[in-house]
Amino acid sequence: MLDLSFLTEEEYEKLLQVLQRDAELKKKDGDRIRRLQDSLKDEKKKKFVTGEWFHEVKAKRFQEDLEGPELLRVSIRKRQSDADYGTIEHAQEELEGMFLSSEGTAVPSPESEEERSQEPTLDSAEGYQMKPKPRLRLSTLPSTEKRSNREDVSPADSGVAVSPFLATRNSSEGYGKGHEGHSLSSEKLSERDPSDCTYRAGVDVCDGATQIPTIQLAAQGKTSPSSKIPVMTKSSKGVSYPDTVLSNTADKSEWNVAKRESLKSSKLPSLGWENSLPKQGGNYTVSSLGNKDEEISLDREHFKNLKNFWEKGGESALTNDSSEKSSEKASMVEVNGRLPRLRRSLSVQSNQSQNSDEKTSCNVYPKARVLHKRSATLSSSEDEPTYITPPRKGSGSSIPRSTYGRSKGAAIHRNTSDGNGKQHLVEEEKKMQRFLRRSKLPVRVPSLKIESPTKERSGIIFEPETPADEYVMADASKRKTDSLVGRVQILIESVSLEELDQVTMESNSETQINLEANEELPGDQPCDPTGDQPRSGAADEREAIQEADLPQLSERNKHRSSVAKRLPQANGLSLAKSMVNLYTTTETYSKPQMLTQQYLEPERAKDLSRSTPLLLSETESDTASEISFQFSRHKKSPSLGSHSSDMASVSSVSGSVLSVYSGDFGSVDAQGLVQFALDYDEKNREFQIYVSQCKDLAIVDEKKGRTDPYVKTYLLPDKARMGKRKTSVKKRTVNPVYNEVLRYKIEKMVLLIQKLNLSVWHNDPLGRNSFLGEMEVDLASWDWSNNRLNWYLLKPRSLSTLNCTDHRGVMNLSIKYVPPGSLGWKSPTSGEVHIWVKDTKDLPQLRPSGVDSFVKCYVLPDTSKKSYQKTRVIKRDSNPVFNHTIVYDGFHTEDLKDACVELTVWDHEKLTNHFLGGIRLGLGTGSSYGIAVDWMDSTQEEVAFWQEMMTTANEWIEGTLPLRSLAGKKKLK
Amino acid sequence: MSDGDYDYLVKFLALGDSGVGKTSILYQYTDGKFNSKFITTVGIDFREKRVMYRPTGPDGLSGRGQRIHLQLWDTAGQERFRSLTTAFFRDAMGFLLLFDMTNEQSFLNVRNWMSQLQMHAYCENPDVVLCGNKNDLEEQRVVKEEDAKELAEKYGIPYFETSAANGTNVSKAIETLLDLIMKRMERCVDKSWIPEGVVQSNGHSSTERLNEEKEKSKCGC
Repeated sequence: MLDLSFLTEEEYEKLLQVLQRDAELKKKDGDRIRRLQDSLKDEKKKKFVTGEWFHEVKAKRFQEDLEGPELLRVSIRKRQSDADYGTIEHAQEELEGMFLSSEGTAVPSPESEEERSQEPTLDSAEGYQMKPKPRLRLSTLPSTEKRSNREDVSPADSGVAVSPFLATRNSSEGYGKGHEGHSLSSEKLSERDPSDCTYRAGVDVCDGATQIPTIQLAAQGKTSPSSKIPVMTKSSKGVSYPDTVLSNTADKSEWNVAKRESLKSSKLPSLGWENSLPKQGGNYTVSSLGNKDEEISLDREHFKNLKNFWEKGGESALTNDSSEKSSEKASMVEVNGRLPRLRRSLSVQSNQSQNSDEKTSCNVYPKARVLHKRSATLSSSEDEPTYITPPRKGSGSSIPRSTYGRSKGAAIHRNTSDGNGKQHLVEEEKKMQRFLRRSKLPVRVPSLKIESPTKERSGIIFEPETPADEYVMADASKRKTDSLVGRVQILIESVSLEELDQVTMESNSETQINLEANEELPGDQPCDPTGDQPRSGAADEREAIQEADLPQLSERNKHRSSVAKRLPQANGLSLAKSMVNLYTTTETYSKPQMLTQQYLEPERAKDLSRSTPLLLSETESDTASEISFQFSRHKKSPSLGSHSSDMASVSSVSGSVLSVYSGDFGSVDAQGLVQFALDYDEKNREFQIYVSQCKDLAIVDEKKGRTDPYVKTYLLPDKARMGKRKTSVKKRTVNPVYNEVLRYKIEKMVLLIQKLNLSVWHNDPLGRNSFLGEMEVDLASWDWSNNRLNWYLLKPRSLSTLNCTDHRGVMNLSIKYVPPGSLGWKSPTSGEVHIWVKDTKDLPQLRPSGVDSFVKCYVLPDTSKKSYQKTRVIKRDSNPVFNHTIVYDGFHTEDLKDACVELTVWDHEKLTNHFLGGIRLGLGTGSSYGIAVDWMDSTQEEVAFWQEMMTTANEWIEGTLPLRSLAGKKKLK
Repeated sequence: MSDGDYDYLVKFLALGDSGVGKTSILYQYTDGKFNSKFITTVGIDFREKRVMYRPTGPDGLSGRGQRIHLQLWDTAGQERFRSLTTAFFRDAMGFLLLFDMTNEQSFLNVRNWMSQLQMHAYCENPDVVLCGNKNDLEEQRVVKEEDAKELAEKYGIPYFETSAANGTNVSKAIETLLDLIMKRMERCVDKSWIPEGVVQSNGHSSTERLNEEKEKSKCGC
């Protein structure tokens, strides 16, 4: 994803025009290639003429990466979404449509096609091949089974299904209906994809479980037409809807099936595939209904858009169904993963999740086939229980779902939102909310929402209540529309929810959540832990998680339930929760995943890349995050068990930044001069500090008249980054002569945003070094033509550098404490602390490319992952606006005295994150629960801020706090 | 022109420091015009041109003319667009790397651009043609031809001294690039063609690859 924030409107318009022209050209070329594909028999010549040769070579390098134009388009889209979706989006959508079509026409890299045909077939049934496939594959269960049934696929094979989607639909319904529904997207797809489709058709059919999903998909396809029609009116989004629905349903169906089987829930098992299918179809219709909902609530669309953008990083729309799915899944995954982790941080936004799905789906359609292909390939890899499923950006997204139960949960959420009937509205809503909360899938949505509210209401204070209400409304409307479908879905949903719960709860055996779900949903009662077994890979993961969480689970469950109860209230609480962005958390983890994808698993990468090289990149960010999430979860699960170990692992992050002055044991007044020269060696790209000598240094040991001085340098603001350089130590002299060169290998551009800090120290044999003076040079304003030796006065240490507060910037935030019982009837069992991170200003810039910042949050003393939240990364902005709300529950009023909210700002880099500054909100007493701790060191400002929150319950306390260095702790990575 | 009645769509990309004449040289090539005013390119742009290509293969035969549709991507040289422009590198089949022979820094930066290409192009050794532009400003020239040639030789790429103002060598440079691309294309296809017919599956054996390499070098250009 490109950061286009620097573009002016004009420039941006120009770029759009260029993209449009490119899209037109691509479209024409796509037409040409299609003609050639049909007419040309000579494969070799075909490769020439279609440019396949190029795509092949490129795919070896860039696999899943998007083409420049697509990337730009996506980026622009994202940017627009950030700014104003309304107008721009439309334009973009149009553009996208063009692109998509063009892409479709564009010759897929040959490899990808081949692979697709092969791989997809393996994994998924025909139905799966369609959008749903990826998801199915993702689900661990289906993967094993899938291969057995090829027969099922046959309908699709008949050739009807040009595009995977079509095929599925056709197979399910008998081609007619499906075609209609697909007409828009499908037609295009079909034309281009025929080859692919056929390949896929050949693919194995899934086993019973998998088959069911496929069937369901087909059913969906049937229903979809109707749904699509309404969608159409709505524009591209509407169109995509059906797809999304399908995917959702498919996922759901998969899960449901599995769940059903495992759970043996009365309805589900009885239904069997066939039954399930029709039901799913019902879901489909529901989804279509969902469109209506959109119409009803404008806000939803906004949210959806926002969500899409966030989730998919703007790419989602382009990526089509698969991306959508993946993103959704990912979100779901994330949510699920978090659930176990964070009892405290709750994000509730079922509605949003739904919306997002819908939204995503809309745009996705055209690309969907590509995605499918990808997903198919991916899925195969994904089937493996391991998290490895390389979080490829595009392809990877789908994978995560399969592995985790979370995806199920997400699907469930969606279903629930879509499917509930009017009758059930109230109950369903509640249930939904619960589910959502449980699943935490909604979390992502919240993040999206968060932004939207801020943007929309710019000046207005963020009031969670309104958004929550809106969402609720949306759900309700959906439910109404979907009534029949809703029931079916509900059943399914309940199952899925149960599954989710089970997953989390398995080991615990606490079925509170499940029970609740069951109560609501009649069919769900039998939530057997055994149900999880089928999802072997996922189960393991879950188990691990569960094990770790066991002690906490009960609490969480309680919390959840309580939360769920509250949710209906849809008040500020829900908003705040929703606001929490799970999304962001994934980022750190994503890196490792990415690496694994790219380097560790070339084969997979190839597959992925091949499948849809062009489109893949679009989803990158999202999928990556999703994937990463799994990763994180993975990590978390072990860590949860032992906090101490967790801490240790985390703590190593950014090292000794703070230690610069820590070693000063003396109290000597700075005096004297230092003579040095600065030069930059262009040839070696080296910054050279020629330290000649010092004179008239202070005497440290008065008695012995001894000073053993040496000179040390740092490059500020990030001392740890380039490290320190030291001269030798000259003994017993206040006029040492060094004539040494200290060197930094650093690009000039980077150097110019640094400050040179040169200090003189007395070296004590016992390590009790004394500071003798320092001087700082702003290298940006340095006259580089001056490389002569000059004398400089040594100054006392500047407090700013000492505390590192000088360049760290400030954070604007609001905090709120909601005491237990303060909300009346549905009083929470515990209090909540809401932290609304608005923005930070004047962050130090460590790199010439700017700062890519994000905020991490822990509630100390809890340093476990469940205490950990973070925002998304804002790229290249030293004044990033996060507008991220984090909610921690489980607080009792007395806990506020012993807890400390630690917010740290980091510069996000590929391999490491660099600490920029932080604040600690607490009472600064130096101890927590009677134990002396170094992190209870809040400044006066911070203490005052915290105290105000304690004394003013249920109100946002606004504050602007300077970021500072945080001593003594673990800067958790 | 925009119709699909061509045989190949070939995508080139011009890159180089800001102000070296990327836009101008493409404008000169596609429209035969020159605008001395400096209008900085916003991020990315492209021009199109239809040309005929008559291959003179290694076998000495010149096949029938191929209709080529050129999509000539123009990039902003400004640093602020760097991430944007480099994202387009991977989609180009060949590159026109320009420097301004009246601006030494732009020449020194050729190295950087080459490494950028190696990083972001579709492969590590894409086809590049180096152009010392503004050949018409001979009196202001600061980059010696021999230096430029030496550098080009080091990279094994052709070098031309061009002038977007009067059109000197502009077509030649681009056509040379096209020739490189077309030859590479044939190599690529030949290479992938063989294993497909023979083994057809996941990857080729090392020996196969060797054979391919040999073939490649045989037909090498």
